[in-house]
Amino acid sequence: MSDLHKLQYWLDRVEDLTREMGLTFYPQKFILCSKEKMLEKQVHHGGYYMYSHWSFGKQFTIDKILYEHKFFFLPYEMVVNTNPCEAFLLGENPLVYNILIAAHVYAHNDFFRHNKAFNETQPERIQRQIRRGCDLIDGHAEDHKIGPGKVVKLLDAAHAAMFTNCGQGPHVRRGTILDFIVENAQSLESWELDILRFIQTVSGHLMPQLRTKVMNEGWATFWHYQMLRKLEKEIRTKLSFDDYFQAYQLHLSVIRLGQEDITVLNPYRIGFATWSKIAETHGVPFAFNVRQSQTDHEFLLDHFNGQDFIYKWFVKPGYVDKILARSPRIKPWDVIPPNDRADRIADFTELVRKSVWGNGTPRFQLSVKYIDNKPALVIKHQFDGRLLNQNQIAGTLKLLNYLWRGKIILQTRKLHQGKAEPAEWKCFDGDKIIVS
Amino acid sequence: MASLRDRRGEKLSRRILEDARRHEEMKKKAARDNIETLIASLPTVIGGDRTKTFRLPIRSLIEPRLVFGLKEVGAGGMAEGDAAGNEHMEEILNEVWRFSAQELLDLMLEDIEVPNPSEIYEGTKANRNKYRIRGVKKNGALFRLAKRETVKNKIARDRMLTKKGQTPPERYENSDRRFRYLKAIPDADEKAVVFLIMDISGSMHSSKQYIAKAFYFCLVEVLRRHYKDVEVVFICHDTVAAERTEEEFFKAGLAGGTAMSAGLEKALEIYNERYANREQSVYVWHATDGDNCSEDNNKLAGALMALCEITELIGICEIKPSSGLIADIPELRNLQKRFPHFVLTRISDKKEIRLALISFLNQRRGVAR
Repeated sequence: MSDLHKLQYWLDRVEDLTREMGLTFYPQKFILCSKEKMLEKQVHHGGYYMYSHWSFGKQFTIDKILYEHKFFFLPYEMVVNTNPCEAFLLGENPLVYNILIAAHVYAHNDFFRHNKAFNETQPERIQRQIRRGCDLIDGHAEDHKIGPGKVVKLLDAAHAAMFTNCGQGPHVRRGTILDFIVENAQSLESWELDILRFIQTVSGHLMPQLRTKVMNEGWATFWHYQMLRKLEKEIRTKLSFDDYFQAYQLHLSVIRLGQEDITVLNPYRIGFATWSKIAETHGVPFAFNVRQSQTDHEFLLDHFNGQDFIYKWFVKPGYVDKILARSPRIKPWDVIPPNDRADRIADFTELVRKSVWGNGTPRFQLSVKYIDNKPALVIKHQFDGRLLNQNQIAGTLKLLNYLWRGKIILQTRKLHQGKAEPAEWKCFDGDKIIVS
Repeated sequence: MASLRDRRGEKLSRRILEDARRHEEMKKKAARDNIETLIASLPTVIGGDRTKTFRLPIRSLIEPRLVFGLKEVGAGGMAEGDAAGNEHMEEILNEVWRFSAQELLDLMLEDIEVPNPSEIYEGTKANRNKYRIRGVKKNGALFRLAKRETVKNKIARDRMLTKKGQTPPERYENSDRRFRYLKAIPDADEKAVVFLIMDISGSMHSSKQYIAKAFYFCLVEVLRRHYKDVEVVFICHDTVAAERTEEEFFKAGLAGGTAMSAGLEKALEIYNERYANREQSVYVWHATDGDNCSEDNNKLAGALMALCEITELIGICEIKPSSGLIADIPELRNLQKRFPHFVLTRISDKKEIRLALISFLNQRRGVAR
């Protein structure tokens, strides 16, 4: 049997087992890719067909260099939310990795299909929509009345607005600055609106993945672990003990705590731990309910708690210090007696909650205010103790100004004598920024 | 049933390659836009290590977003936020923005035509070597036809024929023809010696010295590209001049007053001592801030005159002149009229380094203008 035939056999086997376990999913396609192709897919939001923009080239260059320096490990798989669901597997994966990964992929597929955050996405149509959008962009770039320069500028600006977190309000349907601008801007030309609506589609399709990162990855990790346990005997007899051991190692590396210079906690571990806890305490059927009805924010609020749980999974002497030592309130582990860890766990929970997307990006409230009878966009930052990156504010406002074609006021805070004082950034035309 | 496809042989899409190329272009453009700042502000480059690469602060390639910054304001004041400690990764990322000094110079001179020494003789595109006529031979290119030899041959043949009683034909025959042939002799352009003279008088404070050093660096780099062998003589002067090593030169401190003639005379002295008997191009570049004492002017003109005779290019550059412009000294103006390859320039900002360099190099002897 050739390698591909073997792989096909195992994929089918895994599919049958996942069905037995109760997962239901879109039809699944697996595609083997080369390393470089995986890098490309990574840049294109996980493997969608994408339009041309220099920022993808930049990301590609950076990823490639990081990969060459072993700073960035290629994902073993990438799954996109389409129907039929496409999954890209790294061509060099050993067979036994692919068994684990297939289970992982089916769980993602199941999650895409059932989670409420994905209700508004259209996995059947998205590929066609994106292709049409790319043609649209190419067409406008080739149009001599518009030209590539204007299109690139528009895309630059749209990229700055597409993944922002504004919450839903009366003026906003889905909750990004881009959505707000498309609905309320007045002087955009029709071709610009066409492109922006397309970018809106893309961002609308991708945002749910950001909102459910921890749950989604945790869910997939949880199920590949179940699969590994279920297939233990089979792998050991049909392949070898070494192979089983290798697969187990892979699982461990997926849920590893992190390296020394870790900045954000491993979402796989957070998700995996939380799902395991849910399944243990409430049973698997309850877990199926949770995967349907929650997003990261609620998920972590409801289930990521319990001192013993967090202590067991995360807070270990030596490790926690490296993360928490950055917070001035916490002294090194040696100083505090081990039984006095209550506030450390609270801090840790806070850290985890902050690191999920909804909390890891600033929240804004948008409104329109009339200044001299002209609409001005007011962006109000809901301050929660974290300042915006001050170096990038002016640049972003200029980009947003290009979309809004009017005055923009950003209300946030800046550091003044060690304290965060309210401040306003005003962008009245493309170049001038006034800070007060 | 799961469908499985093997697309391991698939290549990268044209789109992503095009995007990467476009990004590369934008990066270069960003580097070009602040190249003078880069060159002038980097002491490592000025220190002369040409292989060194460094990071470019390219602003335009950051895609600005409204995101949290690194600093966190907690109840207890400021603290490093979660995103700290990424230095090692950043170090690697800098690879993306790394340029070597060579690349920078390439960028700097990219769209300007700096005459290549091999192309400058009387404006023709001559070879790097000079050629000397070695003799004549029977075959060769028609443009090297040696007329005198050919006519001599023809006359000799005519005489022979008349002796034999035949009437000689009027036509020249192939056997009459003689052609010069040349022997290449190594051109002076193979070698160059550059005298870099820097005023280290009290008024040449560090910002001026910076410009001077950046200019020196660029000049030597450019010359190194065109000559196989470039020797650099470093001379510092206040009222007296002394030769320095490269390291000493770039770390030179400040002292006393200014007598520009001292530096130039020192250059002349070193030239006579070491280089007078050798064939090479000589470059002299003198950076000063122009506070020359007036008694020195005559001496200065004399030294300059002597140097003008021997050099390919000689320049005096005033950096952020405070008073007493050198260009106003009548002796020098006369000299400038006589020798077009004597250049007086002024740099008041590091942004002007590039232009000064180009105008300087354009004044070389024999450049077709």
